[in-house]
Amino acid sequence: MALSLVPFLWVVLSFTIPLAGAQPEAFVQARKQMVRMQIQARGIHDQEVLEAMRTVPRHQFVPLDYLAEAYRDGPLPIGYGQTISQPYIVAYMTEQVRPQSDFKVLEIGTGSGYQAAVLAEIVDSVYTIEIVEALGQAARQRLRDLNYNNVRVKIADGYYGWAEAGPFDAIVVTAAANYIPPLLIEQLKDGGRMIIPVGSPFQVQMLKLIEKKQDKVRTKNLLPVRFVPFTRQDD
Amino acid sequence: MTRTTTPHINRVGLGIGLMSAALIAFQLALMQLFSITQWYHFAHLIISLALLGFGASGTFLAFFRKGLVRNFTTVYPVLLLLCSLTMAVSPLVIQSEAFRFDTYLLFKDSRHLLRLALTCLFLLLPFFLGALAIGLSFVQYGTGIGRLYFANLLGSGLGGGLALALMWLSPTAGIPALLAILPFFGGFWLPASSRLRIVFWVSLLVLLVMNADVPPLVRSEYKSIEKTLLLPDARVIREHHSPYGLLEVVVSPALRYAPGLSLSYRGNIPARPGVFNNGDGVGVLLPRTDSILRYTTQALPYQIQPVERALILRSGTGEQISLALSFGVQQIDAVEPSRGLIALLDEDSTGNFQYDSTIRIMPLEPRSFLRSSRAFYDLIQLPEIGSFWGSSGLNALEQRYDLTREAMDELWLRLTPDGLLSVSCWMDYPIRSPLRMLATFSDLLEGEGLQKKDHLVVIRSWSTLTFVAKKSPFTSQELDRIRTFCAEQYYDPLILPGDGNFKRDDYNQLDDPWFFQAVDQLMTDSVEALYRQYAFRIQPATDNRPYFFQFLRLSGLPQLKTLFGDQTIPFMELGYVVLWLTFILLVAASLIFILVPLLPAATKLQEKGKLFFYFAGIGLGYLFVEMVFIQQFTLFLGLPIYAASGVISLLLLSSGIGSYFSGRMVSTSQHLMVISLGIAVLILGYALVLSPVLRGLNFLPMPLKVGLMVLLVCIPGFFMGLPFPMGLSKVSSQQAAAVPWAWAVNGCASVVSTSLAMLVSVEAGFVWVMVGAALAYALAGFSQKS
Repeated sequence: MALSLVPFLWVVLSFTIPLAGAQPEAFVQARKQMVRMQIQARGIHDQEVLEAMRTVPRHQFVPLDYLAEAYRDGPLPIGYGQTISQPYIVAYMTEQVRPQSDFKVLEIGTGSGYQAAVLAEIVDSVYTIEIVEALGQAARQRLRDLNYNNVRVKIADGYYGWAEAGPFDAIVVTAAANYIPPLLIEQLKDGGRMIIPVGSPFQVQMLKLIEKKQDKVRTKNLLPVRFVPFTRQDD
Repeated sequence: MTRTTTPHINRVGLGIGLMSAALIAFQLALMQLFSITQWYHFAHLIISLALLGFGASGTFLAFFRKGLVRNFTTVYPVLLLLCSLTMAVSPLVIQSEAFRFDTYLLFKDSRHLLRLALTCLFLLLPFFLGALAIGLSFVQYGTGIGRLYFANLLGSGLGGGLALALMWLSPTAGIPALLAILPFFGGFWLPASSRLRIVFWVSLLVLLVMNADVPPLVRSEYKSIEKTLLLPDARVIREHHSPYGLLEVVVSPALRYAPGLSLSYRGNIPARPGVFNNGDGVGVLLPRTDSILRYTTQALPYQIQPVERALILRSGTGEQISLALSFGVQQIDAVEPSRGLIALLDEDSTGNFQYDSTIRIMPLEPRSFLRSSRAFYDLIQLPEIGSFWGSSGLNALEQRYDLTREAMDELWLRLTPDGLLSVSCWMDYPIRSPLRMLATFSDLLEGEGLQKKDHLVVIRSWSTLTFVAKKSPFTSQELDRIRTFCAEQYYDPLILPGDGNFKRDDYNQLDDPWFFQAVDQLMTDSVEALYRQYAFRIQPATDNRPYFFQFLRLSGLPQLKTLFGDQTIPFMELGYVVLWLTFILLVAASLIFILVPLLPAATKLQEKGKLFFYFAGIGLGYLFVEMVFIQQFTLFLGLPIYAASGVISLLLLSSGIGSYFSGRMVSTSQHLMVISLGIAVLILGYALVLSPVLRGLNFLPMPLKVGLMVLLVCIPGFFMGLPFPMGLSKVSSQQAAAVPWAWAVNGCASVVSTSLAMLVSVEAGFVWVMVGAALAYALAGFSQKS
């Protein structure tokens, strides 16, 4: 099927298909194409990450208004001034925390719940915190409907982390902050990795890796990311 | 229906005056409204829409002149009434679901482009209707154009002051309905049929309702304040509206601020009240001596040496004052142009921040203070560059005279022999601000004939950089203290005097070492090569081009497109892109709505080329001069809002007086040529002397400064008021059919002139805007040569 026809079909189908029900072939194909064209082509090779991106139904995490664009190479607005990240960025962030099947991962900024779902495909448990109540409630329901039973959603201030569940093997912060909360650094295991975007949400942001080793904290610039799609020079 | 007589010209003139005042004030209110709900970039769009309305009315008049004139007694008051009603309902309409657009979604969602177009079309209406009433009255009272034009300009001149007064007194969304009363009474005052009288009474009811029920402002969900209000238990605890904007204080237990906090910090980050101006974050209210900023790179200057006397420029919400107090600084002079912010701190909403003998605060632009001050400081702290709150390049067109190369020279003069000049900067990607800041420091030290590497220290955290330039060379003890500070707080030195034996990325690694190479290049003599090669413009900002945050350059676009793709570029400098977009749209709109419809009729006119160049030249030239005057007097007075409204009002008033006198002059081609060329020469003279004169007289007390402004603006203003009515009068007497064409050409040129002047100032500098103005008037003058 020509890709140009797919968006139209999605809009039509979206009103008739139950959330956790069978997925039309168009979505599955679009997802495969997304992984091949947008993610693998840009250097993501972790098989588990790729499989997770092929599995999670991204179209069920975007507002109906943007359903036709769910698998496009870019972020989308989800309301409340927030976005669901570009698929490549979700894959990249997931790969950078080097997820293992026994990992316990903390996510700050649930948003639509998409990043949590991708992580949940790979790791043992995901703890995710959302500060905007409406977003958190919707994400919790969505993840429950999609049977992500290893994801726990808390509506709270991410500043405090999730001390009862910590320490964590990895922490993924999806929203930029003017500081890195000290409590999050405390809740990161020694040798653990935290990934966080720095900069204005609509500017080109820098993804930073924060590594904690023997109580010393070091940062590393990983990748500039931005609101709308672009092709890196080395693509 | 009773037949009504044609009203006396004075009554019509009164209506025109009232409506003109309302239209100018309405423009300013809309600018403020869009600054609050979206961002300030729509200011140019609003000005251009107003001018487009005027231009389009000329075209409309050309087609329907006879019918309109025949029914003048009915049409004229109806136009005033419709202008009033559309003005009154505009906040309600443009904020409705069908019209409301979001700046960020313009590039993402085509529906928002459509909504923007609808908004523009609706906002065009009051200007179009008002201008049509003015144009129609000009046609009706041909011999009295001078008087009516005078009423038009007098009203417009007073409108600026009226807008400022209302911004203090009323919420922004309520101002249009208040203003709508003016054109309403302009029409109500005239003789009318009984049926029309009933319509007026019903409309009065509508106006009363609109004034009683002010619609709330609906802001973009991407504004910082909207995101902050989503935090748990977030609420606005204080709100203050003024011409400086809508100032709001928001509290939430989850609202914290610790910009670029050291990763070694293990303490608590307390919640602080956030301050927002027009919905954009400007800072937080800290306790008198808060310690949190001691764990940021901003604390660097205080590690170097004890500071007794500090100058803090753009002190904002007092964060830097709090930091200075925490280090025991004895005397702090703070400069902050926003009186609203000063009042906010003075009222002390946190209960522990009071000004006293330690803190002296001046409500001025930093440059005005610097030029009048004779004090010396151990430390001068510039405002933080960039913002965590993020504006996505929206402030690209912000004129920052405190960050120009000339400002650095003035700052350097105010330092004690061992004094420090410091500024902190957020890292941006691609890197621009830090490089421009370094280029500015580098140029300053070179200009002072100093060894750059001995006088400059730069350190870097995971997100910020702090620059400190010292008037005397850094000592080894000072360098040791800097190294210790960096090690304790996990910062990396970027530039450190000495043997260069230090690691630049021990704690914070970059993805690309290119940045270090660029920094080294800026510290040597090969800066020109870097300026040429880099896709962004990173040369120091100057008073002539005071756009510190404007980095995109047209020649770098292909390189950026390759690197980032064309969809990313708009978000790097949205303000600049919006300006280009506005310019292109306005050129198209002015052609479609104004010029093209008249072309078939214009082909039959005599000397249409002459007419075109004359009326286009004076249209462009007038607004170019206005732009430069606003820029120059902002720097001179140090009060941007008052300078802008003062210049606009004075220009309009003096031009109004000029137009009034034009009625006594004979309008021949030779006269038009002499006057236009005379104005061109006068403008060139101003281009040469205005800036040095104002700089030299900056020490004057404010009343004398205002007096000087009145004199300097009104002299050219008077003469610039002559060419339009004289030209129109000549056309009217020689070929009446050409009046709409002249009006339309002038309108068309005016529509594009504001955006064009802005583009010229960004790309080439304000001097060229002034030269452009002189050329435009010269073109107008030469077009009249027989």
